[in-house]
Amino acid sequence: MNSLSKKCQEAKEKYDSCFNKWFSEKYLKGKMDNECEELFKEYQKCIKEALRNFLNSNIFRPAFMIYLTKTV
Amino acid sequence: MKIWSSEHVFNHQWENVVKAALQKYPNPYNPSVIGVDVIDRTVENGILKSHRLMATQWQMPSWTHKILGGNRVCYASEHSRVDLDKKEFSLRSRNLTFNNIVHVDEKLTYSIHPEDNSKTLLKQEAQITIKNAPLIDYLENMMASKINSNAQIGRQAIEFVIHKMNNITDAAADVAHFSESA
Repeated sequence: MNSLSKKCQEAKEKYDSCFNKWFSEKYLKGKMDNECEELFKEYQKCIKEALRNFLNSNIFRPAFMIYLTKTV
Repeated sequence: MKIWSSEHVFNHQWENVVKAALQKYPNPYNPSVIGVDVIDRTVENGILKSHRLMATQWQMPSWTHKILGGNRVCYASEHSRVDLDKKEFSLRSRNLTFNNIVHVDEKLTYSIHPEDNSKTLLKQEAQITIKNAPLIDYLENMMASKINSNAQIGRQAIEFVIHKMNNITDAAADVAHFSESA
């Protein structure tokens, strides 16, 4: 699946592979220790930067920000 | 405001449906989903919480372009949680684009079927609200109808992903068996 930002594609793919494996083989079996932490940090650093750039250029920013920061 | 809701049963174990749901995109049934990113994820007390940003590009009838501004990329925010104790995977998505005109708030819950634990029950609900546009009832009905057909497609997509996951597992088993006997 494509990332919203081309720059983050590689980081996303590496993290997704790790996460899917961890989810199946560890999490669902009750083992919580997360080995994808480093890959996640790399990915998040990239995507948060891309998101900042996007929001700075997006004219619908106010409503977007409100809904983006809502938590369940 | 319009509320749409639906239920569906998957003839698969809950764990497999959840794995598939998390790897749903890309799939040939949802070509309009053009990008997905995880923007937050934590495990708190065994509950896996995720926040994802989805980008889709819809084909809308051309007469709506003047109201909605054309076929541009739509973004949605999806919050989800996997509760291993309750065996429940719940998701909630809201659109971020077109918020000045339309609000779609969609909730899904995948749980073990109460009458057959080899099956998974999916309950989904969408709240649709249109404002600042003409023909509100008509547009809300059109969106509900669109959501309804997307729901059917979504279920086929899950089946597709489960099938693909099983094939990969079978293929891996074949390779393991082959290399053992070689």
